[in-house]
Amino acid sequence: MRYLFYRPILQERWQKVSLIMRLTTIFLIGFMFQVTARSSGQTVTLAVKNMPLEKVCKEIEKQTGYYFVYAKDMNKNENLISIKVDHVSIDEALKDIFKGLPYTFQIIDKVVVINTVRRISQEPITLTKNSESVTSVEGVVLAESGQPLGGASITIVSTGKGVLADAKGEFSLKAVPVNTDILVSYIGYSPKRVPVKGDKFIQVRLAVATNDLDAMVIKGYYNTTNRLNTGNVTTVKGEDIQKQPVTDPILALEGRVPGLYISQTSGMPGAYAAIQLRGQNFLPTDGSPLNLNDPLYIVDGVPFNSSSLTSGGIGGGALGAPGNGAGQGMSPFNSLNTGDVESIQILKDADATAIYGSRGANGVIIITTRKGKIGNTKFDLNVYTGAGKVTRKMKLLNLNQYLQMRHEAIGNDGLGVYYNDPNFKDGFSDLLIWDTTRYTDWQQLIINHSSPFTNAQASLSGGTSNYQFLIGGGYSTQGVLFPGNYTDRKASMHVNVRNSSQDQRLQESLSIDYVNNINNLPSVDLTSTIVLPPDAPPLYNENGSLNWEKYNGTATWDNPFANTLKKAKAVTDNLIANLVLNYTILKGLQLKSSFGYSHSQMNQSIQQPSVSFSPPNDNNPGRRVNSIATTDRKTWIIEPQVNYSAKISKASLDVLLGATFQQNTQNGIAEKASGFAADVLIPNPKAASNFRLINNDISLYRYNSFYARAGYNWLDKYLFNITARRDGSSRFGPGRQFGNFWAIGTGWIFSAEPFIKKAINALSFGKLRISYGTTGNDAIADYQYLSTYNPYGNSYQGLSGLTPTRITNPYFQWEVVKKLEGGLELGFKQDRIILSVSYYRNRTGNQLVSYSLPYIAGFTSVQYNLPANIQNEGQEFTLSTINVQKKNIYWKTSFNISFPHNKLISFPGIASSTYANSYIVGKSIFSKFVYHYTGVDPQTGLYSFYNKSGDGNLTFNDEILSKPITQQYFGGVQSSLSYKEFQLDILVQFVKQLGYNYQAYLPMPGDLSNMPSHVLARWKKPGDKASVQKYSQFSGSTSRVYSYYRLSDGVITDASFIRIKNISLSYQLPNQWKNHMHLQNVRIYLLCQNLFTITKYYGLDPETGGLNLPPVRMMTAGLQINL
Amino acid sequence: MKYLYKPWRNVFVLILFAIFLQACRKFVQIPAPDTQLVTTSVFANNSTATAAQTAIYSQMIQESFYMSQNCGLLSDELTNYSTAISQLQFYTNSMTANQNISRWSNIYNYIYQINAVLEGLSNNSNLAPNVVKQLMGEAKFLRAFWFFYLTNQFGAIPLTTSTDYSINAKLPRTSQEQVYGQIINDLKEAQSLLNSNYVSVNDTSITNPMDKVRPTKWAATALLARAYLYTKKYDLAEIQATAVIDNSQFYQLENNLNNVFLKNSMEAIWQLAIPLPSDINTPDGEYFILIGGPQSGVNNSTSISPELLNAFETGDKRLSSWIDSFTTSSTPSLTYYFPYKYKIYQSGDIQEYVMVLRLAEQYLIRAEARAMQNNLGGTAADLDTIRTRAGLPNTTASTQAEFLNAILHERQVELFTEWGHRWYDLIRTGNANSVMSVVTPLKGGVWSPNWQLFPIPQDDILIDHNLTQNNGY
Repeated sequence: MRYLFYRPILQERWQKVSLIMRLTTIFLIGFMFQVTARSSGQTVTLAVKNMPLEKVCKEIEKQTGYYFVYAKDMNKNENLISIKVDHVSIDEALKDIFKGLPYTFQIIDKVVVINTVRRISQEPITLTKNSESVTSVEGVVLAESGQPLGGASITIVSTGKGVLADAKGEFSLKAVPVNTDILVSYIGYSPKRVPVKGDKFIQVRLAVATNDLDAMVIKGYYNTTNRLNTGNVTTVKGEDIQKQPVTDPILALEGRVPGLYISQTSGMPGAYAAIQLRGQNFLPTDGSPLNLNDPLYIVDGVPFNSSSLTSGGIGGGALGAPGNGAGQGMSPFNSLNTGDVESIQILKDADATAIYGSRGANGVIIITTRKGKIGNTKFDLNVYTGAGKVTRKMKLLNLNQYLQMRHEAIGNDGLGVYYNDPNFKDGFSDLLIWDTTRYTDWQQLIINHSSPFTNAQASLSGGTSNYQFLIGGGYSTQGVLFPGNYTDRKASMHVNVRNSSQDQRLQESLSIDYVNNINNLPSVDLTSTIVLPPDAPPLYNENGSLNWEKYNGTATWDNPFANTLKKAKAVTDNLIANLVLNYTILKGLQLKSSFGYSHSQMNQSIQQPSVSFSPPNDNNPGRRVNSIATTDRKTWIIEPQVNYSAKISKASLDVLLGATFQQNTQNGIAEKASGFAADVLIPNPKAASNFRLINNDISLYRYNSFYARAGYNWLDKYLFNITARRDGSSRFGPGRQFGNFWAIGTGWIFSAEPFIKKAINALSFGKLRISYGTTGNDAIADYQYLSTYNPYGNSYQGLSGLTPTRITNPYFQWEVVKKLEGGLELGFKQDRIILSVSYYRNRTGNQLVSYSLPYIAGFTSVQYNLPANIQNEGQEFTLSTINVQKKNIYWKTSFNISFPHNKLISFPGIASSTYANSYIVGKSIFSKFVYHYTGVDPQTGLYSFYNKSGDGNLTFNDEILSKPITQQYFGGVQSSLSYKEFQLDILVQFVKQLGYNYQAYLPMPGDLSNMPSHVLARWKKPGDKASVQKYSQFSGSTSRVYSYYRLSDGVITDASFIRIKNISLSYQLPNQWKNHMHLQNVRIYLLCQNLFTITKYYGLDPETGGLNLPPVRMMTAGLQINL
Repeated sequence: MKYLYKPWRNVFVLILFAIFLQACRKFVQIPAPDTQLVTTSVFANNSTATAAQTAIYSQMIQESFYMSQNCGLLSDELTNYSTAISQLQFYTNSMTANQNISRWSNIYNYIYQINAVLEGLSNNSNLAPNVVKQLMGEAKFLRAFWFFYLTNQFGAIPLTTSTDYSINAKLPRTSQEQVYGQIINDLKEAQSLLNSNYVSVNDTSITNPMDKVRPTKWAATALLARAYLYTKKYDLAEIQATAVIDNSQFYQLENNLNNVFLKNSMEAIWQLAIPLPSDINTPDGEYFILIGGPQSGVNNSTSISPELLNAFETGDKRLSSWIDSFTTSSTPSLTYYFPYKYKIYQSGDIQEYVMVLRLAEQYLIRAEARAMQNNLGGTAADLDTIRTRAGLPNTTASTQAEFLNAILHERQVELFTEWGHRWYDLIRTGNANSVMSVVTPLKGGVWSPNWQLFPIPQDDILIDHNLTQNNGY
């Protein structure tokens, strides 16, 4: 092959490519090639790889008898030579050798004189015939802070050719036509055009990009800019995250990222947020692990497990337990500190996510923490404090309406006989036992308190060009809206140190994040008790003990505040450490390795005193329980990489080869201590008479991959990006562990074409990009392919039992998502208006699901590769405009909207599968089979439904497919206005969606529970046209019909909303004041989260749904000081 | 090329690369977790194989109370005070297909475990032959036991006889006749496999003192007698019942009614021990005994119905020994009667086991089988054995029809709140419609002959579209 490329340019290029390949082999395998050369009289024969110049010259001396003389100031070993010549003259050989070197040579008799270019350039030598118009230039590229920008690109504008700066930022250019410009660019900095004008040494200082197009985009193992990106990546800056008074950085993304839908499950601090990045890729089943649809999270280079640490064995109190209903346990993101976040990048399409290959099926979210910057040591203090209130309340029946409902229900049900029978008195406790004149507004009492929130962050940072550091600490505390003293407290520490050798060739960067979180929340979400009957008894007796309103010695109600005596506590420690070593072997060639380690541990306890149980069991040792759990998660990851970048003629090439070795271990223990003689003994399990291990789970996950990426950029006009990987995961059975994934991305910056420039004057930037590729998913539980038995925990005949863990299928394999994306990005008026449009189409086949099984199979699911193919398709639009850009005023707006569409495109064998009655090919997977509600029957007063056979018996043949119960579109509008010292930021979130209304969560109107006031529109007498069924407490037919109603489309309603998500207003002290106080910067500000919500949804909140605590309206005021 | 490479170097590189790839392949091959046992090793050891079987007894002990309470509410045994929809649906005979699915799902999970044990034991040469024989017998017995309850609740049911989910997930319902065929086959095999002594956990020797918590040949025989009775094979039912009754070395009626439900009582054929450690003796005791007024939840929410209370003849010692009451301190005071066969509410000192099969039922099975075969003398003898123990005079029945009525009545007062006997008796004897059309309206419901069978859970019908629903649901 090599002999075909004999033309010098091609050969040179080939040599570079070939060099990369060789070096890769060297680094990966540790094998060094050696030089072979043979002498042959006056001609030279050489074949060397990376040999120092001096050694090469010695070899030529040996072969020819010529003698070399060097300039004093040159470093003979700095330049490594790779050349292959066969029987050529010494002149030819030397020309080859010195091509691209900053030296020249002269042959005088048998002496070769070598000079540096700088010296030679004082008396320019003839390189081409037009010697007057050509010069050579040397220079250095630095950031404004003075940090050398190794790898910066320097391009001669007129020829398009260029070079890369070395590790110290130094470069030299030959054959530069005089009076041309050079374009200097570096990722994340605004490019700069510098005139040459015959200068011999140029110092270029680049400023950090303020323009969105040139901002740095982190694409996993490599970085690029929005301008040159061939994939779809959205960046949310840390400063925008820090403007939101939230403790979970993920919640700060709501409404900001097209294609990313986040819904809070509860307004409780630390609650889980459900995430869908571009829809749902798999068919949901009851047993499906929830994180199967989660994106891959990377925090400072270390994969971050998005599943909750809360123990399934004892649950997480008000936050629920993983895989169990609304709560899902505590969000692991609550143990990250929002104040330390520098930026969050959301990678969406195949081109962006393929570098994470197997785990990028649902997209990738990269969280990067703050780093130190060059400059004087700076101290920064930022404190805000405020309080939260409930965002919305539900309109409920008042006392009279409630009592009337109850009496009417008893009348409708014909329960008068029982109502008047003293035997059944306690069945009607709200009417016959409780004081029916007493009125409590439970909503007011339970969720109308304010929750204090304080957040303080301090950091010290600074550095020189060789050394930068940042040390930060933070503390935050947030309360809950319930009465009582509940807090979620977080203390954090963040350290980042970067160091580089004097010549900048060796760089180390070390980051350590540590967070300690103490979550001290009630053991249940008390929000569900707002529907207590308005005449329910008082919570406490006069002596301060819980009031059970006993009748005949037994309690007539479940006092909700019994739960407040149960103490739930979760302490989480989270450590993430990452070390990156980077060594520049040659200009453009880097060897890099990242070492990551993370350790998260949660210690939980839930203590239940016996008084928290309904009497008469209130002094029963068996009911005094202390449940304890520890969940411990460790991850290490090692990622060696080789990176090569070069300028080849008019193009630049980046090649990356790497490998990943990762291991996660998780250890969970849950124990239950009971049988305490007294309540005061509960904290110490040693005092328990009965101690049980509830579960003890161990899991190990290993992951291994090899990847390669090549990026090719021709004149910043044509962009190509290819990635390929081979990944292995221990979650698959023997022989099925490995999968291959790849992606291609291309971009065309058509605004750089002269004919377009001419045609559309206003267009300052235009890019068309297309990407296609495959990514995989292995986000399932470990060991699913193994057939195992678990200890049962109790003994029978003294023998501890064993039970089967699952139904085993050893044959499942990688889930594969095929992603297609097209994007158009346009900039107008010097990029003051940027419009970007993307279309995506993700198809997920070979779905890794928990395949639903009927109960008769023994277990309700089995891990399975479903042949179903789900398509998530959508359009995303972002429009960013700089509306006003004047000396004192700056106003910027950004609007984004996403239209997701979901469709089951194929499912061979669906009719014979367990999904036959759940999904239809061609329809959205969010559509549900439901009975069709046809209103309240004016004669019977009961809900009626479409009934095909007309026999009144509803079967699943009567069910229809509902509209998709999901978002039709969603997005946000961000606006940022600064005027002199003032700055105002507003974020408005909007969602158009269908959801379940409150009737889906509440008992039948008429039952012993308060109701939303809309039930007043109930049926009263034959002939009534009503929207609500007649009041009824219970009787066979009404409850049966009501259960059909809850399974009908009658409970599916519009749950759209517009929310003023965030407002931040800040004022910077004028300079003369600051100078007076010797402060660099002083800022006071107000932050407000979830200010108000516009919605037609009746109930607490359309986002959280159900009877969970709705999102909290948080108002805070703060102060930031820089010294 | 010729200068740079030598062939052996290429080979060397290739070998290194191959070793590296092999190492990576190894890297992602992980061992099983220490906390779990791989299935093949479970059945490679006598103790672990036994543990896989006995764990099913540990799990199924909870079913006793629920089966008793559910069927008691459905029939005329219990009065409901619960406000839970699930309980009200039983009480008013208005079950729906989306409520009360735990019995169905639990039982099929036990059957899965049973089938897994049978599969683990088949062609197994690692275990001691006597262990294999006993465990296989227990598994077959237990499978028959659960199919018996399933078919009596749901009628035709899917017959799961393997762990293969690809088969099970698509099973249609099997007719009740074929289900009984399977039950009787399993029981006959169990009879020949099971030890006739009560076995301990370590080996198959007799336990000393006798611990009646594992099924024996006699348990299989007793259940076979019941299966024959239900399928109207009266001659065979009599033979099997007689075999149990004649084993007086193991089984005798307890003269003191307060001793019947104690652990290892002379009357017990098979009992379930509460898995240890435990704060309670039996779920039945904990959840039936009222120490206050009835609760509104699922447990401690029922009392003995007036129908059952009134069914006791004057002087029946079962009324005083097996039923107790709680009287409120209110004015007027209210009295709630509750089942008191199990007398321990909560205690870690285990004195009572859950009774599954007992001798008194065998006498009543034989009495009915004899009556059906017109052996009225034999019938009277068996019936009077039970009546005498209860302190009652001999039966006054003289015709076959009178005897059958007397037996139904005797079963009502002898076997109340034990695994739902009354409900199944009403249905199999054809008395359900006449009794329930009176009782259901009293309970606030409307009776239909369709309500004799439980609804098949809707979830399963949605997933397994070969399943059909029972009439009326």
